[in-house]
Amino acid sequence: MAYSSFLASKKDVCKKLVNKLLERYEYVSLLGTHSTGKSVSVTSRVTSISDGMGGQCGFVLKIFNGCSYSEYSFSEIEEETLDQLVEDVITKVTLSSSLLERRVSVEMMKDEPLVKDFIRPLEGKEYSLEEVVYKLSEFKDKMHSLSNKVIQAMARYSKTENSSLFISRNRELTQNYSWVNVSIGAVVREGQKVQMGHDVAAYNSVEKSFEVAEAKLEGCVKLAEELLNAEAIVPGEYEIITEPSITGLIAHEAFGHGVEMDMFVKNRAKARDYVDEYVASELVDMHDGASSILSAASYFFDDDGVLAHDTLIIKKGILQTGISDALSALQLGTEPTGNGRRESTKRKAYSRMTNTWFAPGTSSVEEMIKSIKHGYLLAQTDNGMEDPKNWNIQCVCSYGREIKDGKFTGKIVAPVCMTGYVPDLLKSISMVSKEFEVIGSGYCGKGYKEWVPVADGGPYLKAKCKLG
Amino acid sequence: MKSIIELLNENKKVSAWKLIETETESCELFYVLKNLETNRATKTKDINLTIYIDEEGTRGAANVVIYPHMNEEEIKKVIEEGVYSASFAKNKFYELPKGTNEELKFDVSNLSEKPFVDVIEDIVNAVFKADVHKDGWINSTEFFLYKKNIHIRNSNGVDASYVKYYGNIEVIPTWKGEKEEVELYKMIEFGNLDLDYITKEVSDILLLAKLRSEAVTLPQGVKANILLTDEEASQIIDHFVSDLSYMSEYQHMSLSKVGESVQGDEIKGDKLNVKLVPSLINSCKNSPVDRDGTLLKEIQVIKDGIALQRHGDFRFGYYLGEENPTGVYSNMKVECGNTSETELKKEPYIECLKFSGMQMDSFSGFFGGEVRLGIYFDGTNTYPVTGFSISGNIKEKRGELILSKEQISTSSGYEGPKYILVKGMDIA
Repeated sequence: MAYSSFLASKKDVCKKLVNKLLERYEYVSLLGTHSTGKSVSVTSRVTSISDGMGGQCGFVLKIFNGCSYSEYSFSEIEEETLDQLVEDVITKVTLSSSLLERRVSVEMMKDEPLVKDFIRPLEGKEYSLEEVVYKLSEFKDKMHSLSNKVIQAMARYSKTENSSLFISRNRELTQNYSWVNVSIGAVVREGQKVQMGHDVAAYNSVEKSFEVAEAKLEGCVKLAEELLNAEAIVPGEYEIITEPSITGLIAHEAFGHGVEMDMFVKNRAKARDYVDEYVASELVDMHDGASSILSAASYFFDDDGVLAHDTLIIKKGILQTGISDALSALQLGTEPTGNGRRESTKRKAYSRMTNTWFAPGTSSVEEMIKSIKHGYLLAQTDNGMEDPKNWNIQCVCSYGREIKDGKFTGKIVAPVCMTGYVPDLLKSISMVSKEFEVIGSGYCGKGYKEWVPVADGGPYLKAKCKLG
Repeated sequence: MKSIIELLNENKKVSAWKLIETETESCELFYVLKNLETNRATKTKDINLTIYIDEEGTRGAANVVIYPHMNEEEIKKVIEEGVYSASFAKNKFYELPKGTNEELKFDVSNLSEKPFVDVIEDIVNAVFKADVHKDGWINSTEFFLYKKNIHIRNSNGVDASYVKYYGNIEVIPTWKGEKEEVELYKMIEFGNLDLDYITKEVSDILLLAKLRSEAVTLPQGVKANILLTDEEASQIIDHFVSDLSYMSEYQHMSLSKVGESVQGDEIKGDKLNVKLVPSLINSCKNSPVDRDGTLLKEIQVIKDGIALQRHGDFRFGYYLGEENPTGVYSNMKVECGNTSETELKKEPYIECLKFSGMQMDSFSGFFGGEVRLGIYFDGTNTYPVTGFSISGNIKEKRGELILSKEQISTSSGYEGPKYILVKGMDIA
């Protein structure tokens, strides 16, 4: 594993491009990315191998046009055709005078000098492609052997290696880091009833991802079988305990999107008016940041060339600050927090979450369960959707286990949709566990697009919520 | 420099290949209120190559990426890596689609008539033309126009190329109600330019934002019919269509059988009639061929509630013994029912206008989600409601669906009943 030789070979010509454009514009930055990957999928009947969904290679320029910002994304850069590229950039980012009449007016980006190279190698044993396919095949066979109800077993591996290069007048940064994701799934069938159990292991190590996934195979099949008998929940308000995946879903969907500060710029986030106010129980601390913990969204600098942060968003229940990209910070007069992220160099940078999590507390999961009169342990993220303006919750959990008088009844409900008002849920948090896990296997969209890898999680939380 | 195809043909280990080249140009504007915050342009090229190697009745395949900057040696190396990867992904043998002399029929979009910078300015004006209310406004808007040159080739003679234009506009309308400001989300997509359509879509979503600002919490214990429309109506139908895919059957996950009812033994509601089509007016998902280069022609997959045929990609069709696998479609046409909107709205109902995201679990059959805006008719009065969720199971409801006589066409590939009425869903 090493920094991209392609980006290394293009560094000089990229600097020339930036310098040529700086003759015309006051601020120009260039981001080059080269992400390679390998995805392997072994299912009961099909094996597939591809270069992976994280693969991309390209460049994007950000240019201060004297009032606001223009961008140009491209795939190719050659010394011989540099003048033509400069001409193309200037032509393509120039708009008609009528469109330019109504623009936001912002300052030029800070461009503090920094030259640095970052690298984070994978830990543990490396696996050859043959070994990866063998391991996944073993997982598939094991799941089939665990139950004759399994009609489809799936084991997937993906490894992405990201290299990026950031160049401006005063900054020259490079980084290289990787991440591994192993997911497993078992589809079971009983007559017309079909259900699926799934799980994931995602780490900075192929070896650890395989080890953890292997330990989850039995639970995955058992869960699928249990779900065959799942009932629909009787809608109503319940005491709940969220396991770390659902805690992460709440941190991410219910609250995190609402503190992405491009939403503050547009007055689209209620959180903007709640800084320094209680938005959660005093037991709650919440973080986001590429350097806050080692997980799927841990990088060294963001797509604006801003170094990674660990942002304390909620401290003892009080909202401290949001997270921002460089352009939003400029408009708000705040400091960027290293959260400017692009789906690829083909897309714009927005304020995006990275690794988002609630901090652990002091309770044990056991005593949390004992304290429930009638409620559910909610588990496994299915999906969620944000509503930063109005703080409504839409979080769907794959299943819930019923608890009565402090004990599991054995009843399982699926799926479970949490609804309500975000601060009501966060203020109802009455216990926070010592047990803590951040899960780095997700992708997050903004609205319905702009997908980037994220991690979220935290401790088990006890709260109250409307379930349906 | 030798071409990718020449290099593929030189490599004796390569048994077959598929090459998809996509050149994309875009023009993009990002507005905060009525002020331009960022403008973007892109000019990029993507090259995706699939390498197949055949050994002892098996076919191994691997997808690799080639970058435009790569020289001959680098491309050779990628091909070798693809061969190596494919040797570990051996599956039952399957053919690739064959080339055809049939002409590709794909209408040229009127988005091609002017330079993008001029078209996008017209679109900006069409959007803001609707922004005329005192208490409601467009908070932020993102405009995207795309031109894609797509070229699909394979070693079996497929050589299909076409140019696709489309656009989309993300609009966030806000309305200042008595209690608070509320917002909604709308993605307007289009394959042809119709400025009046865009203005109307923006006007309509602004008025829905107004309704959300007036919406009250749905009373507890409401029992009412659920009316699904737009994307959610499409999602319901898509559940039946997806279950009929070749892949679903090959993977033993399909619950439907060709020649049998997809709506259960007793159909009390309307019987479904569904066609898959390559193009729909204004759909941004139109395409004359699929990603394998299979030529797409209109097919009927469900008739009177009975599964007529399966559909999907060439490989899984081949596995199932289909002589002419259909290819993968992104547009569907659904026959309307006989019940008018007025009749559908005679009994108490909730018309679900905006979900935060309706979920449809293809395994369990669960569907539902949080409704951000609905219209509730309690038998006497009609008023906007919010803050509730609906849930049900399509396996239980599939025989009771009532389809409206009125039709809608969405830009995301659905032409069919404007409303689907579902009775007896849980409302919380």
